[in-house]
Amino acid sequence: MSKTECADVFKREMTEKYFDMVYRLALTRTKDKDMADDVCQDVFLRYIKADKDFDSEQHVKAWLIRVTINCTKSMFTSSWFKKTIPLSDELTFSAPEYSDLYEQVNKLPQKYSTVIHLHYYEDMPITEIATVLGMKESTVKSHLFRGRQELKNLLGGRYDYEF
Amino acid sequence: MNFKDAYKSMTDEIHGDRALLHSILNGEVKKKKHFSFSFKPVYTVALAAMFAVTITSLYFKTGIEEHSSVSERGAGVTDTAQTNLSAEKEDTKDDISAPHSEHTTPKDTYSHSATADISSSDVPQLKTSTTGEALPLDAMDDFSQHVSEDNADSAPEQSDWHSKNSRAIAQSDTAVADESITDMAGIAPASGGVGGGSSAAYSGDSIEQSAYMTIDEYWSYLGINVADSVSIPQDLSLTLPDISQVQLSESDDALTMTAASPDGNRSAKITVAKTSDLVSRFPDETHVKINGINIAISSHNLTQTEISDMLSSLAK
Repeated sequence: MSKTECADVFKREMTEKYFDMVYRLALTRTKDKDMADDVCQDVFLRYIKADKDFDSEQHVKAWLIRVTINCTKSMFTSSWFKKTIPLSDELTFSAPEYSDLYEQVNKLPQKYSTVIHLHYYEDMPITEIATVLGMKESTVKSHLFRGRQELKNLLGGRYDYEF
Repeated sequence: MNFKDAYKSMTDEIHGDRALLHSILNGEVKKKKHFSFSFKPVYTVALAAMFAVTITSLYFKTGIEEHSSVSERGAGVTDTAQTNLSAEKEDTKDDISAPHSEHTTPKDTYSHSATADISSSDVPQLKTSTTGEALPLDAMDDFSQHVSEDNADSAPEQSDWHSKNSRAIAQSDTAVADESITDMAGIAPASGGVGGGSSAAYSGDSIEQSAYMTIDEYWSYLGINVADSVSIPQDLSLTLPDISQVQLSESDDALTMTAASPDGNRSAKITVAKTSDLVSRFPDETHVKINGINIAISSHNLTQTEISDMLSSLAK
């Protein structure tokens, strides 16, 4: 197998593995299924076309997260997006508790929900989140703190979550 | 319950579109569900506008340069004709397109100020300007060079006006070495605002210079404000040339003012010159020389006494 073929196989594997990760992050940020799909497509097309040597799988993951954030940012800054109201998508979950949680997380401002998602779902440390988002660590910390506080208020003590 | 576990469990139940994944893996691109611009349209419009402005400015810059070159070579004659320096000039404009051979007397040099008067005897190769005057190629090119050099100077002060022209002349290494080029005043710089433009041409040992000057600059050049100094009869009112610029050359620096009564029955023309030989054509009793400035008064309906009184008022 040639080097090019190896690279193609590797890219396919990475695409399949991180497709959901990219989609979830995009959905967290856009709060819209269709827009998340568009972002997904953009991100992986960029990845497939990218003439970049990735050091490791972790490098690919970080790159995908970074590009996902950039894609959603550019989508938000487009004048078209500013004139549109995202449709409220109904996602079905196995438990009503999850539906409620998803709904409350979606009510959070994007800057808080992004940090919460990266920290609690992707298990990224503060330092890494700061690097990926291009923020100061102190900013990430405060976003995480305020996001948690706001989510607690939104949940209103319905669930006894330990943050 | 731990929030982290709950959030992970909840998020794990979210999956992307499998069909989209397969299409990506197969290299297919699905039409986007939400159309969006990759960059702000306003930036595109701004960039397009800047590009258009740049192209337009470049185009018009070229156009102006072309226009200027045409003006330098010929259109200045029209400008000169419009300066309305004096009635005498108007009278002699019928000589504008006449060949030089028809001008034999030195006095004709004055009338040549409205055109480019170049002897063809020593300069065989001629170029026809846009207004029909025949100009020597070398003289024209050299003159254009002087014009461009002088136009770079913006609004020269009166005190160094001649010196600037002299510098331009000194810089010329391809001067027209031909005394037959007697007067370049007719070829005026196309650009240059009030007092802003000047031109010069070297002609053998003599220097021919021309420039646009305001009336005030002209008085400074003479060293005397004749309009203020002259005492005219009560029923006459003095009218300066209705132009803001006076074209001037060393051989043609004459300015004519008109003093006329409201009904027009009585009028006089006051001609002022520093170097022009125009005034010498006037009878002795109608002109006076004060500090090197020749002032002459001509009139068909004023008495000699009135003319003398006006001249004597200037001498005071």
